[in-house]
Amino acid sequence: MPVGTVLLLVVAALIYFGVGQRLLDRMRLTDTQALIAIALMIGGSFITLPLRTGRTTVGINLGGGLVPLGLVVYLLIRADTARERVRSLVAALVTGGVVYGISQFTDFDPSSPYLFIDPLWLFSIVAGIVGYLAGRSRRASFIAGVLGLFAVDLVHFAQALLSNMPTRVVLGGAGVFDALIVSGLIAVGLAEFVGETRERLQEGGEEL
Amino acid sequence: MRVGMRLALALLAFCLLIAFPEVTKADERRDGGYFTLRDESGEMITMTARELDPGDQYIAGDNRLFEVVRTEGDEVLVRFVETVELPDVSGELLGAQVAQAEEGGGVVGIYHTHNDESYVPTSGTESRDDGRGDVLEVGKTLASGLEEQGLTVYWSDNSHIPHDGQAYIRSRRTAVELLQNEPDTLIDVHRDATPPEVYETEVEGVPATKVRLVVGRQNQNREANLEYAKRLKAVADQLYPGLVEGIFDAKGNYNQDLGPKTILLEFGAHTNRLDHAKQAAEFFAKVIPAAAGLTPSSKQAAEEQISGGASRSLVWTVLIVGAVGGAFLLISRGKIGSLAGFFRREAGLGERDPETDDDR
Repeated sequence: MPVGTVLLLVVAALIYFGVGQRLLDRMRLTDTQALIAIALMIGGSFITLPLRTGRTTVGINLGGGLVPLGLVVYLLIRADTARERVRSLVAALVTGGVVYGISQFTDFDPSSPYLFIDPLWLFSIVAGIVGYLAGRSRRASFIAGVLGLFAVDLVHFAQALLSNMPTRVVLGGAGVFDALIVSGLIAVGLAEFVGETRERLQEGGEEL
Repeated sequence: MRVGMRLALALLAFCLLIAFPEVTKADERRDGGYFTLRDESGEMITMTARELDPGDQYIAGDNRLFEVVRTEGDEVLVRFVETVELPDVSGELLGAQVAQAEEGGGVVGIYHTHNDESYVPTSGTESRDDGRGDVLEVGKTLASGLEEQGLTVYWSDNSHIPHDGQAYIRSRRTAVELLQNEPDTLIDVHRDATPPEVYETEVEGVPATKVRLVVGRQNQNREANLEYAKRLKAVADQLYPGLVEGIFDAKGNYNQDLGPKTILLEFGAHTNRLDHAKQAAEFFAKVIPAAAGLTPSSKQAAEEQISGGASRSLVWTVLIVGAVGGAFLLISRGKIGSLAGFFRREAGLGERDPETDDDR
Protein backbone atom coordinates (compact mmCIF):
# COMPACT_ATOMS: atom_id res chain seq x y z
CA MET A 1 0.00 0.00 0.00
CA PRO A 2 1.33 3.49 -0.79
CA VAL A 3 3.12 5.27 2.04
CA GLY A 4 0.80 8.29 1.96
CA THR A 5 -2.21 6.03 2.16
CA VAL A 6 -0.77 4.03 5.04
CA LEU A 7 0.09 7.25 6.91
CA LEU A 8 -3.38 8.61 6.29
CA LEU A 9 -4.97 5.45 7.65
CA VAL A 10 -2.65 5.36 10.65
CA VAL A 11 -3.23 9.01 11.54
CA ALA A 12 -6.99 8.72 11.01
CA ALA A 13 -7.05 5.63 13.24
CA LEU A 14 -4.89 7.28 15.91
CA ILE A 15 -7.11 10.35 15.95
CA TYR A 16 -10.30 8.32 16.01
CA PHE A 17 -9.20 5.95 18.75
CA GLY A 18 -7.29 8.64 20.63
CA VAL A 19 -10.27 10.96 20.68
CA GLY A 20 -12.50 8.00 21.50
CA GLN A 21 -10.38 7.03 24.49
CA ARG A 22 -10.22 10.63 25.68
CA LEU A 23 -13.97 11.06 25.44
CA LEU A 24 -14.72 7.83 27.27
CA ASP A 25 -12.23 8.95 29.85
CA ARG A 26 -14.34 12.05 30.51
CA MET A 27 -17.32 9.95 31.50
CA ARG A 28 -16.33 8.64 34.88
CA LEU A 29 -14.26 5.87 33.31
CA THR A 30 -10.65 5.56 34.31
CA ASP A 31 -7.92 5.69 31.65
CA THR A 32 -7.58 1.93 31.83
CA GLN A 33 -11.31 1.32 31.60
CA ALA A 34 -11.56 3.61 28.58
CA LEU A 35 -8.67 1.82 26.87
CA ILE A 36 -10.20 -1.57 27.61
CA ALA A 37 -13.53 -0.38 26.19
CA ILE A 38 -11.81 0.81 23.00
CA ALA A 39 -9.85 -2.45 22.72
CA LEU A 40 -13.06 -4.47 23.18
CA MET A 41 -14.79 -2.38 20.53
CA ILE A 42 -11.96 -2.97 18.05
CA GLY A 43 -11.54 -6.66 18.83
CA GLY A 44 -15.27 -7.27 19.00
CA SER A 45 -15.80 -5.66 15.59
CA PHE A 46 -14.91 -8.97 14.01
CA ILE A 47 -17.56 -10.94 15.87
CA THR A 48 -21.25 -10.83 15.02
CA LEU A 49 -23.68 -12.97 16.99
CA PRO A 50 -26.73 -14.14 15.04
CA LEU A 51 -29.98 -13.59 16.91
CA ARG A 52 -32.48 -14.66 14.28
CA THR A 53 -32.24 -16.29 10.87
CA GLY A 54 -34.79 -16.46 8.09
CA ARG A 55 -36.13 -13.96 5.59
CA THR A 56 -35.46 -11.12 8.00
CA THR A 57 -32.28 -11.89 9.83
CA VAL A 58 -30.91 -10.04 12.81
CA GLY A 59 -27.63 -10.15 14.62
CA ILE A 60 -25.59 -8.01 16.96
CA ASN A 61 -21.96 -7.11 16.59
CA LEU A 62 -19.86 -7.49 19.70
CA GLY A 63 -17.68 -4.41 19.24
CA GLY A 64 -20.22 -2.12 17.61
CA GLY A 65 -23.31 -3.25 19.52
CA LEU A 66 -22.80 -5.16 22.75
CA VAL A 67 -19.81 -3.23 24.10
CA PRO A 68 -21.34 0.26 23.68
CA LEU A 69 -24.63 -1.02 25.07
CA GLY A 70 -22.73 -2.50 28.00
CA LEU A 71 -21.10 0.88 28.55
CA VAL A 72 -24.50 2.54 28.51
CA VAL A 73 -25.80 0.11 31.14
CA TYR A 74 -22.67 0.72 33.24
CA LEU A 75 -23.16 4.48 33.02
CA LEU A 76 -26.83 4.17 33.92
CA ILE A 77 -26.04 2.03 36.95
CA ARG A 78 -23.40 4.47 38.12
CA ALA A 79 -25.58 7.53 37.60
CA ASP A 80 -25.78 9.73 40.71
CA THR A 81 -29.51 10.06 40.91
CA ALA A 82 -32.67 8.45 39.60
CA ARG A 83 -33.39 11.78 37.94
CA GLU A 84 -30.20 11.56 35.91
CA ARG A 85 -31.11 8.03 34.83
CA VAL A 86 -34.58 9.06 33.74
CA ARG A 87 -33.22 12.12 31.98
CA SER A 88 -30.69 10.01 30.08
CA LEU A 89 -33.35 7.54 29.00
CA VAL A 90 -35.74 10.29 27.94
CA ALA A 91 -32.88 11.92 26.03
CA ALA A 92 -32.27 8.60 24.26
CA LEU A 93 -35.95 8.31 23.37
CA VAL A 94 -36.08 11.83 22.02
CA THR A 95 -32.85 11.30 20.07
CA GLY A 96 -34.20 8.09 18.55
CA GLY A 97 -37.44 9.82 17.61
CA VAL A 98 -35.75 12.80 16.00
CA VAL A 99 -33.25 10.65 14.08
CA TYR A 100 -36.00 8.32 12.91
CA GLY A 101 -38.16 11.28 11.95
CA ILE A 102 -35.35 12.81 9.91
CA SER A 103 -34.58 9.53 8.17
CA GLN A 104 -38.23 9.39 7.11
CA PHE A 105 -38.22 12.96 5.74
CA THR A 106 -37.10 11.61 2.49
CA ASP A 107 -35.28 8.74 0.90
CA PHE A 108 -32.46 11.21 0.57
CA ASP A 109 -29.04 10.50 -0.71
CA PRO A 110 -26.10 12.01 1.07
CA SER A 111 -26.35 14.60 -1.71
CA SER A 112 -29.82 15.80 -0.70
CA PRO A 113 -30.14 19.62 -0.55
CA TYR A 114 -32.03 19.18 2.70
CA LEU A 115 -28.84 17.98 4.28
CA PHE A 116 -25.71 19.98 4.78
CA ILE A 117 -23.78 16.88 5.57
CA ASP A 118 -23.79 13.13 5.03
CA PRO A 119 -26.47 11.19 6.96
CA LEU A 120 -23.80 9.35 8.96
CA TRP A 121 -22.43 12.59 10.38
CA LEU A 122 -25.84 14.29 10.44
CA PHE A 123 -27.52 11.64 12.55
CA SER A 124 -24.56 11.57 14.88
CA ILE A 125 -24.57 15.33 15.26
CA VAL A 126 -28.33 15.42 15.71
CA ALA A 127 -28.02 12.70 18.34
CA GLY A 128 -25.29 14.76 19.97
CA ILE A 129 -27.26 18.01 20.01
CA VAL A 130 -30.54 16.44 21.09
CA GLY A 131 -28.76 14.21 23.58
CA TYR A 132 -26.94 17.19 25.08
CA LEU A 133 -30.01 19.44 25.15
CA ALA A 134 -32.15 16.77 26.75
CA GLY A 135 -29.48 15.15 28.88
CA ARG A 136 -27.29 18.13 29.82
CA SER A 137 -24.25 16.03 30.65
CA ARG A 138 -21.49 14.09 28.92
CA ARG A 139 -22.75 10.77 30.16
CA ALA A 140 -26.36 11.46 29.26
CA SER A 141 -25.23 12.59 25.80
CA PHE A 142 -23.33 9.36 25.24
CA ILE A 143 -26.30 7.31 26.42
CA ALA A 144 -28.64 9.30 24.17
CA GLY A 145 -26.32 8.98 21.17
CA VAL A 146 -25.86 5.23 21.46
CA LEU A 147 -29.32 4.24 22.67
CA GLY A 148 -31.04 6.68 20.30
CA LEU A 149 -29.51 5.11 17.20
CA PHE A 150 -30.00 1.66 18.69
CA ALA A 151 -33.71 2.44 19.03
CA VAL A 152 -33.84 3.47 15.35
CA ASP A 153 -32.26 0.14 14.40
CA LEU A 154 -34.87 -1.65 16.50
CA VAL A 155 -37.67 0.23 14.74
CA HIS A 156 -36.18 -0.77 11.39
CA PHE A 157 -35.98 -4.36 12.54
CA ALA A 158 -39.57 -4.33 13.76
CA GLN A 159 -40.75 -2.85 10.46
CA ALA A 160 -38.78 -5.43 8.50
CA LEU A 161 -40.18 -8.24 10.61
CA LEU A 162 -43.78 -7.06 10.38
CA SER A 163 -43.64 -6.65 6.61
CA ASN A 164 -41.60 -9.83 6.14
CA MET A 165 -38.94 -7.77 4.42
CA PRO A 166 -35.98 -9.73 3.04
CA THR A 167 -33.30 -7.80 4.81
CA ARG A 168 -30.52 -8.19 7.28
CA VAL A 169 -30.24 -6.08 10.38
CA VAL A 170 -26.92 -6.24 12.17
CA LEU A 171 -27.02 -4.03 15.24
CA GLY A 172 -23.73 -2.18 15.40
CA GLY A 173 -22.58 -4.25 12.42
CA ALA A 174 -19.89 -1.81 11.30
CA GLY A 175 -18.11 -2.50 14.57
CA VAL A 176 -16.04 0.31 15.94
CA PHE A 177 -16.95 2.41 12.85
CA ASP A 178 -20.68 1.91 13.30
CA ALA A 179 -23.00 4.90 13.48
CA LEU A 180 -23.90 3.76 17.00
CA ILE A 181 -20.39 4.44 18.29
CA VAL A 182 -19.69 7.43 16.03
CA SER A 183 -22.91 8.94 17.32
CA GLY A 184 -22.09 8.27 20.99
CA LEU A 185 -18.63 9.79 20.62
CA ILE A 186 -19.81 12.85 18.71
CA ALA A 187 -22.53 13.33 21.32
CA VAL A 188 -20.14 13.31 24.23
CA GLY A 189 -17.64 15.39 22.21
CA LEU A 190 -20.30 18.04 21.65
CA ALA A 191 -21.30 17.94 25.29
CA GLU A 192 -17.67 18.39 26.25
CA PHE A 193 -17.10 21.21 23.79
CA VAL A 194 -20.37 23.06 24.43
CA GLY A 195 -20.30 22.44 28.16
CA GLU A 196 -16.71 23.56 28.51
CA THR A 197 -17.29 26.63 26.37
CA ARG A 198 -20.37 27.62 28.34
CA GLU A 199 -18.59 27.15 31.62
CA ARG A 200 -15.65 29.23 30.48
CA LEU A 201 -17.81 31.96 29.02
CA GLN A 202 -19.75 32.20 32.24
CA GLU A 203 -16.64 32.03 34.40
CA GLY A 204 -15.18 34.80 32.26
CA GLY A 205 -18.23 36.88 33.06
CA GLU A 206 -17.89 36.24 36.76
CA GLU A 207 -14.21 36.96 36.94
CA LEU A 208 -14.62 40.51 35.83
CA MET B 1 -33.30 27.95 29.68
CA ARG B 2 -34.50 25.50 32.28
CA VAL B 3 -33.99 21.77 31.79
CA GLY B 4 -37.72 21.14 31.79
CA MET B 5 -38.24 23.70 29.06
CA ARG B 6 -35.49 22.17 26.95
CA LEU B 7 -36.97 18.73 27.39
CA ALA B 8 -40.39 20.01 26.47
CA LEU B 9 -39.04 21.60 23.29
CA ALA B 10 -37.18 18.46 22.32
CA LEU B 11 -40.28 16.37 22.94
CA LEU B 12 -42.38 18.79 20.94
CA ALA B 13 -39.98 18.49 17.99
CA PHE B 14 -40.16 14.72 18.32
CA CYS B 15 -43.95 14.68 18.35
CA LEU B 16 -44.12 17.00 15.35
CA LEU B 17 -41.80 14.78 13.37
CA ILE B 18 -43.77 11.66 14.17
CA ALA B 19 -47.16 13.27 13.69
CA PHE B 20 -46.44 15.08 10.45
CA PRO B 21 -43.93 13.08 8.48
CA GLU B 22 -45.67 14.04 5.25
CA VAL B 23 -45.15 17.74 5.91
CA THR B 24 -41.44 17.28 5.94
CA LYS B 25 -41.31 14.70 3.17
CA ALA B 26 -39.03 15.86 0.39
CA ASP B 27 -38.15 14.12 -2.80
CA GLU B 28 -34.97 12.47 -3.89
CA ARG B 29 -35.78 12.81 -7.54
CA ARG B 30 -37.28 9.40 -7.71
CA ASP B 31 -40.37 11.13 -9.04
CA GLY B 32 -39.08 10.94 -12.58
CA GLY B 33 -37.56 14.40 -12.19
CA TYR B 34 -33.91 15.20 -12.72
CA PHE B 35 -31.55 18.15 -12.78
CA THR B 36 -29.95 19.65 -15.86
CA LEU B 37 -26.51 21.19 -15.42
CA ARG B 38 -25.90 24.22 -17.64
CA ASP B 39 -22.95 26.57 -17.81
CA GLU B 40 -23.13 30.38 -18.09
CA SER B 41 -23.63 30.19 -21.86
CA GLY B 42 -26.61 27.86 -21.48
CA GLU B 43 -24.74 24.82 -22.76
CA MET B 44 -26.12 21.61 -21.29
CA ILE B 45 -23.30 19.81 -19.48
CA THR B 46 -25.13 16.76 -18.16
CA MET B 47 -28.20 15.61 -16.28
CA THR B 48 -28.48 13.82 -12.99
CA ALA B 49 -30.98 12.86 -10.32
CA ARG B 50 -28.28 13.63 -7.78
CA GLU B 51 -29.07 16.74 -5.78
CA LEU B 52 -26.22 19.22 -5.96
CA ASP B 53 -25.02 21.99 -3.73
CA PRO B 54 -22.97 25.11 -4.45
CA GLY B 55 -19.33 24.10 -4.40
CA ASP B 56 -19.92 20.58 -5.70
CA GLN B 57 -17.74 19.86 -8.70
CA TYR B 58 -18.17 17.84 -11.86
CA ILE B 59 -15.53 16.62 -14.27
CA ALA B 60 -17.34 16.13 -17.58
CA GLY B 61 -16.55 13.44 -20.14
CA ASP B 62 -14.25 15.88 -21.96
CA ASN B 63 -12.40 16.62 -18.70
CA ARG B 64 -13.81 20.13 -18.27
CA LEU B 65 -14.20 20.86 -14.57
CA PHE B 66 -17.35 22.70 -13.51
CA GLU B 67 -18.43 24.00 -10.14
CA VAL B 68 -22.04 24.27 -9.05
CA VAL B 69 -23.08 27.89 -8.52
CA ARG B 70 -26.76 27.49 -7.63
CA THR B 71 -29.85 25.42 -8.28
CA GLU B 72 -33.08 26.97 -9.58
CA GLY B 73 -35.86 24.42 -9.86
CA ASP B 74 -34.60 21.63 -12.07
CA GLU B 75 -31.76 23.70 -13.51
CA VAL B 76 -28.30 23.75 -11.97
CA LEU B 77 -26.05 26.63 -12.98
CA VAL B 78 -22.41 25.61 -13.15
CA ARG B 79 -19.33 27.63 -13.96
CA PHE B 80 -16.37 26.41 -15.93
CA VAL B 81 -13.25 26.23 -13.75
CA GLU B 82 -10.56 24.63 -15.87
CA THR B 83 -9.78 21.65 -18.02
CA VAL B 84 -8.45 18.90 -15.79
CA GLU B 85 -5.40 16.98 -16.83
CA LEU B 86 -5.94 13.33 -16.06
CA PRO B 87 -2.99 11.10 -15.18
CA ASP B 88 -1.08 9.88 -18.23
CA VAL B 89 -1.69 6.15 -18.12
CA SER B 90 -0.74 5.31 -21.71
CA GLY B 91 2.54 3.75 -20.61
CA GLU B 92 0.76 1.55 -18.10
CA LEU B 93 -1.55 -0.12 -20.57
CA LEU B 94 0.92 -1.75 -22.88
CA GLY B 95 0.20 -5.11 -24.47
CA ALA B 96 -1.05 -8.06 -22.53
CA GLN B 97 -0.42 -6.40 -19.18
CA VAL B 98 -3.69 -4.53 -19.48
CA ALA B 99 -5.78 -7.42 -18.27
CA GLN B 100 -3.17 -9.32 -16.36
CA ALA B 101 -3.66 -8.71 -12.70
CA GLU B 102 -0.98 -10.05 -10.44
CA GLU B 103 -1.82 -13.60 -9.54
CA GLY B 104 -3.63 -13.64 -6.23
CA GLY B 105 -2.51 -10.07 -5.70
CA GLY B 106 -5.70 -8.18 -6.14
CA VAL B 107 -8.84 -8.19 -4.02
CA VAL B 108 -12.01 -6.26 -4.83
CA GLY B 109 -15.12 -5.75 -2.70
CA ILE B 110 -18.46 -4.92 -4.33
CA TYR B 111 -21.77 -4.08 -2.63
CA HIS B 112 -25.02 -2.22 -3.27
CA THR B 113 -26.32 0.39 -0.85
CA HIS B 114 -29.50 0.73 -2.94
CA ASN B 115 -30.08 -2.90 -3.78
CA ASP B 116 -33.68 -2.15 -4.84
CA GLU B 117 -32.61 -0.13 -7.92
CA SER B 118 -33.83 -1.53 -11.23
CA TYR B 119 -34.07 -0.71 -14.93
CA VAL B 120 -37.61 0.03 -16.13
CA PRO B 121 -37.27 -1.13 -19.79
CA THR B 122 -36.10 -4.53 -18.58
CA SER B 123 -38.15 -5.29 -15.51
CA GLY B 124 -40.94 -2.74 -15.67
CA THR B 125 -40.06 -1.10 -12.38
CA GLU B 126 -37.43 1.30 -11.15
CA SER B 127 -37.31 -0.18 -7.66
CA ARG B 128 -38.05 -3.63 -6.32
CA ASP B 129 -39.63 -3.79 -2.89
CA ASP B 130 -38.13 -7.21 -2.23
CA GLY B 131 -34.66 -5.73 -2.57
CA ARG B 132 -33.69 -7.94 -5.50
CA GLY B 133 -33.17 -5.03 -7.88
CA ASP B 134 -31.58 -5.40 -11.32
CA VAL B 135 -28.57 -3.48 -10.06
CA LEU B 136 -27.46 -6.68 -8.32
CA GLU B 137 -27.01 -8.24 -11.76
CA VAL B 138 -24.76 -5.36 -12.76
CA GLY B 139 -22.61 -5.85 -9.68
CA LYS B 140 -22.44 -9.57 -10.32
CA THR B 141 -21.33 -8.99 -13.91
CA LEU B 142 -18.65 -6.61 -12.70
CA ALA B 143 -17.50 -9.23 -10.20
CA SER B 144 -17.33 -11.97 -12.86
CA GLY B 145 -15.39 -9.70 -15.20
CA LEU B 146 -12.83 -9.00 -12.49
CA GLU B 147 -12.56 -12.66 -11.52
CA GLU B 148 -11.85 -13.58 -15.14
CA GLN B 149 -8.76 -11.42 -14.85
CA GLY B 150 -7.49 -13.34 -11.85
CA LEU B 151 -8.68 -11.01 -9.14
CA THR B 152 -10.37 -12.23 -5.98
CA VAL B 153 -13.77 -10.62 -5.67
CA TYR B 154 -16.08 -10.44 -2.68
CA TRP B 155 -19.50 -9.44 -3.95
CA SER B 156 -22.25 -8.84 -1.41
CA ASP B 157 -25.94 -8.86 -2.24
CA ASN B 158 -26.84 -7.86 1.32
CA SER B 159 -30.10 -5.95 1.44
CA HIS B 160 -30.23 -2.44 2.86
CA ILE B 161 -33.86 -1.62 2.12
CA PRO B 162 -35.84 0.49 2.67
CA HIS B 163 -34.26 3.07 0.37
CA ASP B 164 -34.29 5.79 3.04
CA GLY B 165 -31.93 8.10 4.88
CA GLN B 166 -30.50 5.25 6.91
CA ALA B 167 -29.57 3.12 3.88
CA TYR B 168 -25.92 4.23 3.93
CA ILE B 169 -25.73 3.56 7.66
CA ARG B 170 -26.98 0.02 7.03
CA SER B 171 -24.71 -0.52 4.03
CA ARG B 172 -21.79 0.72 6.11
CA ARG B 173 -22.03 -2.56 7.98
CA THR B 174 -21.73 -4.49 4.73
CA ALA B 175 -18.80 -2.32 3.67
CA VAL B 176 -16.98 -2.99 6.94
CA GLU B 177 -17.68 -6.71 6.56
CA LEU B 178 -16.11 -6.61 3.10
CA LEU B 179 -13.13 -4.67 4.47
CA GLN B 180 -12.26 -7.67 6.59
CA ASN B 181 -11.14 -9.33 3.33
CA GLU B 182 -8.64 -6.47 2.88
CA PRO B 183 -9.83 -5.39 -0.57
CA ASP B 184 -7.59 -3.18 -2.68
CA THR B 185 -10.68 -1.31 -3.78
CA LEU B 186 -14.25 -1.17 -2.52
CA ILE B 187 -17.06 -0.39 -4.96
CA ASP B 188 -20.68 0.59 -4.29
CA VAL B 189 -22.67 -0.13 -7.48
CA HIS B 190 -25.73 2.03 -8.27
CA ARG B 191 -27.75 3.39 -11.14
CA ASP B 192 -28.85 7.00 -11.76
CA ALA B 193 -32.34 8.34 -12.58
CA THR B 194 -32.19 10.50 -15.73
CA PRO B 195 -33.57 10.33 -19.27
CA PRO B 196 -31.95 7.43 -21.15
CA GLU B 197 -29.91 9.53 -23.59
CA VAL B 198 -27.62 10.80 -20.81
CA TYR B 199 -26.13 7.34 -20.40
CA GLU B 200 -26.76 5.72 -23.82
CA THR B 201 -23.62 5.02 -25.78
CA GLU B 202 -21.86 2.55 -28.02
CA VAL B 203 -18.44 1.28 -27.10
CA GLU B 204 -16.55 -0.60 -29.81
CA GLY B 205 -19.82 -0.78 -31.71
CA VAL B 206 -21.60 -2.48 -28.83
CA PRO B 207 -24.54 -0.73 -27.10
CA ALA B 208 -23.84 -0.05 -23.44
CA THR B 209 -24.59 2.50 -20.76
CA LYS B 210 -22.04 5.01 -19.64
CA VAL B 211 -20.66 4.94 -16.12
CA ARG B 212 -20.56 7.87 -13.71
CA LEU B 213 -18.15 8.01 -10.78
CA VAL B 214 -19.05 9.66 -7.49
CA VAL B 215 -16.55 10.80 -4.90
CA GLY B 216 -17.80 12.03 -1.51
CA ARG B 217 -16.26 15.29 -0.32
CA GLN B 218 -17.09 14.93 3.36
CA ASN B 219 -14.40 12.55 4.54
CA GLN B 220 -10.67 12.41 5.02
CA ASN B 221 -10.09 10.15 2.00
CA ARG B 222 -11.58 12.57 -0.52
CA GLU B 223 -8.29 13.54 -2.18
CA ALA B 224 -7.10 9.96 -2.53
CA ASN B 225 -10.46 8.83 -3.85
CA LEU B 226 -10.59 11.70 -6.30
CA GLU B 227 -7.17 10.71 -7.65
CA TYR B 228 -8.43 7.15 -7.92
CA ALA B 229 -11.52 8.33 -9.81
CA LYS B 230 -9.31 10.30 -12.19
CA ARG B 231 -7.22 7.20 -12.80
CA LEU B 232 -10.37 5.17 -13.48
CA LYS B 233 -11.48 7.75 -16.02
CA ALA B 234 -8.02 8.01 -17.57
CA VAL B 235 -7.79 4.24 -18.08
CA ALA B 236 -11.37 4.05 -19.36
CA ASP B 237 -10.73 6.93 -21.78
CA GLN B 238 -7.78 4.99 -23.20
CA LEU B 239 -9.42 1.57 -23.38
CA TYR B 240 -13.05 2.46 -24.02
CA PRO B 241 -13.45 6.12 -25.04
CA GLY B 242 -16.88 7.43 -24.10
CA LEU B 243 -17.56 4.83 -21.42
CA VAL B 244 -17.22 7.28 -18.52
CA GLU B 245 -19.84 10.03 -18.40
CA GLY B 246 -17.99 12.02 -15.74
CA ILE B 247 -16.95 12.33 -12.12
CA PHE B 248 -19.00 13.98 -9.40
CA ASP B 249 -17.00 15.33 -6.50
CA ALA B 250 -20.02 15.97 -4.36
CA LYS B 251 -21.22 16.59 -0.85
CA GLY B 252 -21.61 13.44 1.17
CA ASN B 253 -19.52 10.66 2.60
CA TYR B 254 -20.92 7.54 0.92
CA ASN B 255 -18.97 5.48 3.46
CA GLN B 256 -15.79 6.54 1.68
CA ASP B 257 -14.28 7.50 5.03
CA LEU B 258 -13.66 3.77 5.44
CA GLY B 259 -10.66 3.82 3.16
CA PRO B 260 -8.89 5.19 0.11
CA LYS B 261 -9.87 3.63 -3.23
CA THR B 262 -13.51 3.42 -2.21
CA ILE B 263 -15.78 4.59 -4.99
CA LEU B 264 -19.43 4.80 -5.99
CA LEU B 265 -20.25 3.86 -9.60
CA GLU B 266 -23.50 4.55 -11.42
CA PHE B 267 -24.20 2.26 -14.35
CA GLY B 268 -26.80 4.02 -16.47
CA ALA B 269 -30.18 5.20 -15.27
CA HIS B 270 -33.51 3.54 -14.52
CA THR B 271 -34.56 4.40 -18.08
CA ASN B 272 -31.74 2.36 -19.62
CA ARG B 273 -31.74 -1.37 -20.25
CA LEU B 274 -30.22 -3.85 -17.85
CA ASP B 275 -28.28 -5.66 -20.60
CA HIS B 276 -26.67 -2.36 -21.58
CA ALA B 277 -25.68 -1.69 -17.99
CA LYS B 278 -24.26 -5.21 -17.73
CA GLN B 279 -22.28 -4.59 -20.90
CA ALA B 280 -20.86 -1.45 -19.30
CA ALA B 281 -19.92 -3.52 -16.24
CA GLU B 282 -18.05 -5.97 -18.49
CA PHE B 283 -16.06 -3.11 -20.00
CA PHE B 284 -15.47 -1.44 -16.68
CA ALA B 285 -14.12 -4.66 -15.18
CA LYS B 286 -11.20 -4.28 -17.59
CA VAL B 287 -10.61 -0.72 -16.43
CA ILE B 288 -10.36 -1.34 -12.68
CA PRO B 289 -7.15 -3.46 -12.44
CA ALA B 290 -4.88 -0.90 -14.08
CA ALA B 291 -6.59 2.07 -12.42
CA ALA B 292 -6.29 0.52 -8.96
CA GLY B 293 -2.66 -0.42 -9.57
CA LEU B 294 -3.32 -4.15 -9.61
CA THR B 295 -1.30 -4.85 -12.77
CA PRO B 296 2.49 -4.99 -12.76
CA SER B 297 2.83 -2.06 -15.15
CA SER B 298 0.42 0.21 -13.25
CA LYS B 299 1.33 -0.54 -9.66
CA GLN B 300 3.98 2.10 -9.09
CA ALA B 301 2.22 4.94 -10.91
CA ALA B 302 -1.07 4.21 -9.15
CA GLU B 303 0.64 4.15 -5.77
CA GLU B 304 2.36 7.48 -6.43
CA GLN B 305 -0.78 9.22 -7.65
CA ILE B 306 -3.20 7.91 -5.07
CA SER B 307 -0.59 8.30 -2.35
CA GLY B 308 -0.19 11.94 -3.36
CA GLY B 309 -3.90 12.46 -2.80
CA ALA B 310 -3.69 10.63 0.51
CA SER B 311 -0.82 12.85 1.63
CA ARG B 312 -2.83 15.98 0.87
CA SER B 313 -5.74 14.49 2.84
CA LEU B 314 -3.34 13.75 5.65
CA VAL B 315 -2.21 17.36 5.84
CA TRP B 316 -5.83 18.56 5.92
CA THR B 317 -6.79 16.01 8.54
CA VAL B 318 -3.93 17.01 10.81
CA LEU B 319 -4.62 20.73 10.26
CA ILE B 320 -8.32 20.41 11.04
CA VAL B 321 -7.75 18.25 14.10
CA GLY B 322 -5.02 20.65 15.23
CA ALA B 323 -7.31 23.67 14.79
CA VAL B 324 -10.21 22.06 16.66
CA GLY B 325 -7.93 20.78 19.40
CA GLY B 326 -6.24 24.18 19.66
CA ALA B 327 -9.56 25.98 19.88
CA PHE B 328 -10.71 23.60 22.57
CA LEU B 329 -7.52 24.05 24.57
CA LEU B 330 -7.84 27.80 24.28
CA ILE B 331 -11.40 27.64 25.52
CA SER B 332 -10.69 25.23 28.34
CA ARG B 333 -7.78 27.38 29.52
CA GLY B 334 -10.16 30.26 29.73
CA LYS B 335 -8.40 32.74 27.45
CA ILE B 336 -11.46 33.23 25.32
CA GLY B 337 -13.57 33.07 28.45
CA SER B 338 -11.98 36.16 29.95
CA LEU B 339 -12.32 37.98 26.67
CA ALA B 340 -15.94 36.96 26.32
CA GLY B 341 -16.54 37.90 29.93
CA PHE B 342 -15.29 41.40 29.22
CA PHE B 343 -17.75 41.80 26.37
CA ARG B 344 -20.52 40.26 28.42
CA ARG B 345 -19.93 42.70 31.24
CA GLU B 346 -19.73 45.61 28.83
CA ALA B 347 -22.97 44.52 27.20
CA GLY B 348 -24.59 44.14 30.60
CA LEU B 349 -25.57 40.50 30.03
CA GLY B 350 -26.78 38.31 32.88
CA GLU B 351 -24.75 36.06 35.11
CA ARG B 352 -24.73 32.28 35.09
CA ASP B 353 -27.44 30.22 36.67
CA PRO B 354 -25.70 27.64 38.88
CA GLU B 355 -28.98 25.72 39.31
CA THR B 356 -29.03 24.54 35.73
CA ASP B 357 -25.30 24.51 35.15
CA ASP B 358 -24.65 20.93 36.00
CA ASP B 359 -22.46 19.75 33.15
CA ARG B 360 -20.63 16.60 33.97
